[in-house]
Amino acid sequence: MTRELLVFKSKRLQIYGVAFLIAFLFLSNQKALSQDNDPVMADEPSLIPEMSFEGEHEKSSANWYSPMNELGITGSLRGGYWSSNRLNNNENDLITSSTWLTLDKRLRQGLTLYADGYIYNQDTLGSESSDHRVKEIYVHFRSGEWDYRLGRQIIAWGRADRLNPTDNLTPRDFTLLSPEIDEERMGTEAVKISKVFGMHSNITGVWLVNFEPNQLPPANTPGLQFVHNIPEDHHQYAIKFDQSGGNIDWSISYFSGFDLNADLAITGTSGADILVQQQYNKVDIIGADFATIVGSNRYAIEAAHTETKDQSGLDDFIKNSFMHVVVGVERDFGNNLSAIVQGVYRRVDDYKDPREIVNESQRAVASLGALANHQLDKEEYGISFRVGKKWLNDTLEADFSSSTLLQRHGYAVRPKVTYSINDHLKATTGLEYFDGASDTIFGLQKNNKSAFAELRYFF
Amino acid sequence: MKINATTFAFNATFLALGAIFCLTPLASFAQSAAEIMEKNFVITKVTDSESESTFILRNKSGKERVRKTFGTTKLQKNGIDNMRMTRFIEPTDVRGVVSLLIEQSEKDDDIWLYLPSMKKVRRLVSSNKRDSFVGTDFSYGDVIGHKVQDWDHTIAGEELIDGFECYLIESTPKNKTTANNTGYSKRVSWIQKEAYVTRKAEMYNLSGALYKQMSFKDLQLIEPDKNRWAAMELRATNVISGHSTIVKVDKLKVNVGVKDSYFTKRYMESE
Repeated sequence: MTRELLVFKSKRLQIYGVAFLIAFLFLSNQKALSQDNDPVMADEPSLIPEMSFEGEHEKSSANWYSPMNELGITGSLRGGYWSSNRLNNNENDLITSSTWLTLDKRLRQGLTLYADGYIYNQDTLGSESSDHRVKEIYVHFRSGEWDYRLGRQIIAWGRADRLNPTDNLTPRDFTLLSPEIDEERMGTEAVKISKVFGMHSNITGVWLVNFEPNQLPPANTPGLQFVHNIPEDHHQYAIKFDQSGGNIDWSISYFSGFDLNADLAITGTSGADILVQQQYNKVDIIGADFATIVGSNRYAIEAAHTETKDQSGLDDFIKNSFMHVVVGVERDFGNNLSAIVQGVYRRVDDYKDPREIVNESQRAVASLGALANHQLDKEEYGISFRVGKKWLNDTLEADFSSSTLLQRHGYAVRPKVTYSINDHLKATTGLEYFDGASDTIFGLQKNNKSAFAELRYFF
Repeated sequence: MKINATTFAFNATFLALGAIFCLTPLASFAQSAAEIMEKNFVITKVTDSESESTFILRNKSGKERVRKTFGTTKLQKNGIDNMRMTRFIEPTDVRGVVSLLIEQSEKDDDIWLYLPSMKKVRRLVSSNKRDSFVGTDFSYGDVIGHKVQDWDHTIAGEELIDGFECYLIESTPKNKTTANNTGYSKRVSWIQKEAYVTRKAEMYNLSGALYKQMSFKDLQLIEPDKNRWAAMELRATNVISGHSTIVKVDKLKVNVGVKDSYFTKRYMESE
């Protein structure tokens, strides 16, 4: 076991230990901390109904919660077919299988234990062995106007649709074969503390104890060998003020931590290959978002400026500081039909074209890094579009999403149809299609285009 | 996306929908249709409530889907607008979905939705009232109630429903916006005399064809000092598709001091 892994596991154990110690203390002192004796806690609502319902209007004494619900456990069994994986390796016709479990247990008033994870195999009939992942496991404690969440958790920020410049705290696994894009999110060990002000405002502070990067489809570029370099100093911090309510919802945020997306740097050679290190450098990100509804339209703006380690823009192997803005409008057409159009803008500070680097190896690596990080051009413009529709009392749902760049030829489309056969069975089928020039992020993913189908059994 | 907007506030809302009306006896000749509808609209609102409900969604061939919810309501300080929170408990694929509806009589309502998969609360476009809730046959407009002032009302007659004498009120939208936002060209309501409770309702689509039929059963006085009533069983049938929805209020407590903290983003985001 490497030192890096040991440190990682040690820190994870520390935070889990603290979290469960708190849970244990509260459980063992439940009587002393009972709602009756704690006026602050008495103000907190029940998360799961535990009302006595002894009034004259009680209609049924039957408890309709299932045994699994009583334990706080739910889950699903999933099987699917993907015509390609997301690993850029031309492996086709994959049978996927997985078991997903969620524990959502209210330990006592104001204290919840939550865990979410899965066991999966993305090539069940092939050589790949099963693996598992704990997406989240944390305790959440509420006391008066304060919330405390300790443990591995997903922190999702931003009011734009899917493209969120301010969402930089916890990673995604873009290689996971799932029809639901939101399931790509992964948690990170963290302490999150929030204080609410009135009904609509809150301030949140986050201490990320660990760092895990985004998992991206590998760029299988001939002549390049990639190695990861995860930073040893994991500590990261963030703060956010959020206002949700009134005419405009908005937030401002600041994050000081590590870039979820790697910079590429040459570290040497191995035979004829260049060794490329995927480095996760320090960034400081200040962001804001706004959203409002006018008539049948919802308007949203989300923007962030990222200050990278290469503040002068002189290092070819560290991305430059940049601005990322998403502006969108969502329209509701009625009858369960809606659409979202978003414009995306990125501007690179102190831009220098990596394709003008004289050294061939350096040029290749710097250009690939710039391409993966949207820094090949000084300014980049893009558009995303999504439309959704439901039929048959929400048993049949269709979603079509697409995105493209304006300066270069490249696009992605993702149609998806979901049918709920009954309350336990759901079938999904769709397509992920990428096309574009080799100097676009879409062109890089050409090998990952795939048709997919999945059946889920919920329990 | 608004496609998710169908997962909204229900049980409490349906209470409001099925809730009953003022018991103050008034001679029928002394009242206009609008006055009857005003009474019908206003007295559906309880001070606050906590409830558990079951939604049975049944298609034309009889196949059923079942939703279990926990909900709270609370009247705002103006005594007119409600706040409604609904948390889905079952089935698994909708467990943890929370909707929050903040009624605003002077402007569009606020609708918030939390989807566990997204880990975010989203404010939804709420001007459109015709979308269905969680795939039920009740529209968003049916659930929050149709604002009386947006419709022209006439007394079309009197009929006996379930043994109760009822006014038969026809309501037509005052303008195209109301018609388009609700999806209805006409509503017909059977309002029980003296109690001002809706016993039955019919909705006609924009083509003028009968679209939905609703009935409200097991009406109970749930807040006696304010004459607030509720239907413990509500049924809506889409006569075009043959799909129907039955809402059963399993448990209900009224005027129990529901905290404001239920109606916040903070509560919605709590797993």
